[in-house]
Amino acid sequence: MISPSELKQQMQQQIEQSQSLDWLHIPARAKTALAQQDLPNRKLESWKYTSVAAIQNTDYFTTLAKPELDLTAAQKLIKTLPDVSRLVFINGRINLELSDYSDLENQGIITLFSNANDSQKALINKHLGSICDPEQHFFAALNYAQSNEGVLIHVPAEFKVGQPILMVYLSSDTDSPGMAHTRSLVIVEPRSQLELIEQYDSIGNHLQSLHNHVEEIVVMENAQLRHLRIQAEDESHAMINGLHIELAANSHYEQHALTLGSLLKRNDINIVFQGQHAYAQLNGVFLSKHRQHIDNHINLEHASAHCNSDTEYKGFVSDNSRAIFNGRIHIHPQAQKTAAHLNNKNLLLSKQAELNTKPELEIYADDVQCSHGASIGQLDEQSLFYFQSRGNDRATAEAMLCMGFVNEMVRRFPNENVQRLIADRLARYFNDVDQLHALWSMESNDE
Amino acid sequence: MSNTSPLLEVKDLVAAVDGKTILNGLSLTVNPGEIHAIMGPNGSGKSTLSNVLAGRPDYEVLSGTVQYKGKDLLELKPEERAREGIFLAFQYPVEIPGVSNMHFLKASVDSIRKHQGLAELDTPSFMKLAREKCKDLKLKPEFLKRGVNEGFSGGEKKRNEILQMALLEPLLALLDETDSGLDIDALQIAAEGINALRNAQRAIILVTHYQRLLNYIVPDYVHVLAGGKIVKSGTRELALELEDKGYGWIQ
Repeated sequence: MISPSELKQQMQQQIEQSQSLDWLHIPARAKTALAQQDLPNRKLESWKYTSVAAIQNTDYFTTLAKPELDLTAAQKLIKTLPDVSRLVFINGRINLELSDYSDLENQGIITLFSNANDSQKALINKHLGSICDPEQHFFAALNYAQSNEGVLIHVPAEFKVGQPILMVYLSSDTDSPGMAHTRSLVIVEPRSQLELIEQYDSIGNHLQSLHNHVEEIVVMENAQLRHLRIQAEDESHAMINGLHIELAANSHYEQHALTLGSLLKRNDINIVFQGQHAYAQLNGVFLSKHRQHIDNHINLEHASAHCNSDTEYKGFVSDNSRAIFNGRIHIHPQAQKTAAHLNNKNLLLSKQAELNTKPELEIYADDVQCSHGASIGQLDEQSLFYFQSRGNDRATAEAMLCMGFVNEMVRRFPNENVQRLIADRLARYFNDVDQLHALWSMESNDE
Repeated sequence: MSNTSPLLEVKDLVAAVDGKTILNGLSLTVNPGEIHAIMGPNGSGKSTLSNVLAGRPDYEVLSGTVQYKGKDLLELKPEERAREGIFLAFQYPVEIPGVSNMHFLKASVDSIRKHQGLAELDTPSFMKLAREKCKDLKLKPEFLKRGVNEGFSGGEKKRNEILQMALLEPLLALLDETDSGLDIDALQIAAEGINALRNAQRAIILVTHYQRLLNYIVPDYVHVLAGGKIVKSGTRELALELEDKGYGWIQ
């Protein structure tokens, strides 16, 4: 294993060889930020339970992943969600053949950075790095330091985007390891509405790419964004994902997320309540099994008065896997009349599995309503008996309860096609657990 | 009836929950086709009896025997009892959000049919059957799509128990205070559902605190449970007498 400093050197060499878009401001800032930071290690509170050492063993950092794939298999994977505007990335690169978003491109709503006109360039330079500070986030700095492409989603004021926008991030088997960097900037102007779906998926089971995704979102006054995220890559996959959101006054942000475990999954969600009466809802469910590792970090910066947030995450942790949930609510002194609630319920299904849950409340205002809670439990014996008393054997009863635990969150996804896609991915995820495989297969075929 | 062998034979049953003896030498014989009502004051052991017969794990049998269809019932796991035809309608049905009622019902029916050597019903046939049974119980078809008992009213939960019973077609149904928490309309619907299942092979044990259910489902025998054993048995008139005088005069 190479040392963290050697590893960082390799990364910097990789950056030297890469070319960023010359009009972008962020790469120079990111390079400086990167030079001043060390690779995150476990001495940092935010990386206490996740060792990047797990991924240091593979040669991710020296090269960029190649966009190779089986086109037929890819088509099958992306066609399950109809009636969307779709952008498809293969190991970090846009694939125009599989993408279909010309309508929104013509309207200037979806633009690749490389196609940006002058006003779009100005917009990108204004916002990129304004919510996500590369000085604070090593992997964002690594990403932004080599920005040769990106996606701008810009919804003009008073506009309701009719169809959801689907971003598909596909990882596929490659001959050698490499890194895939993707970045997107989403700006929803005042009084507009958008549904954004992110489908992280894969083809093959020897994925050697480390996907490093950075996303910044601005939801302006009275605008609404509904954000559905499905992270369902094969377990050989590794991902570091940073999502940074700014909410203006009276804006509404709703997120539903599913995360399936893999070699490494790190999800950071930072939300800043910048204007009064903004609302954020975060619903999530994560599953880990085998030796998988999932690390969820949610940080809610309540910086304005009269904002509300509701966070509910469920964890399903089995075998020898490890999962982390860290949810922080930070109420700034000026954020009076905040109502913020955060809950994390977990099912721990094996003695070898490990779960670290840490809800945090930091309150500097005196007139707020806040609650946080976390629980770790096993399957409920009364419920098991109920199922058994109807003729179901113990294994089936357990499987049904497990499914129910997860499905309670899946059913909150406000899109039935997405629910079916998730059920199908869960059937794939549980292909080595007969009962769960059968239950999710049945659910995915449900009309 | 006299020449058939009993469906259920409970002898001197002593059972405990959390180390506390609740049933204290209970004996009961039930023949095919019979309806037995078990009545008694709170804490007399009524629910314990039905739970012990269904195989609830936290109920411990200390002594006594239970023969069902001539075999030792106590040796069987809860799911084996169900597959052999025992059905417990729960006093407090469990809520399982995220598992659709339809999936739960189909899995249950499939497991029982499989045990009986019958083919699994295909999904369309099962849906059709389930919808018919729902209609009988005045339940909307959407009821099947909802999570098991999730957000159901008290009455819906009890009707869901009857729906399960109608689909699983048990030989011995144990109805644990199925009438509690039901208004008069819901009680009538539930009673009609139960009466529709009466036949010469099927026996039903009704556990109830009140006589009013017996206005709709007329039992062949009424037993009064007190202190963990049956202290008095009779016919329907006994139930009426209990309604009149309360339980005090028996103990």
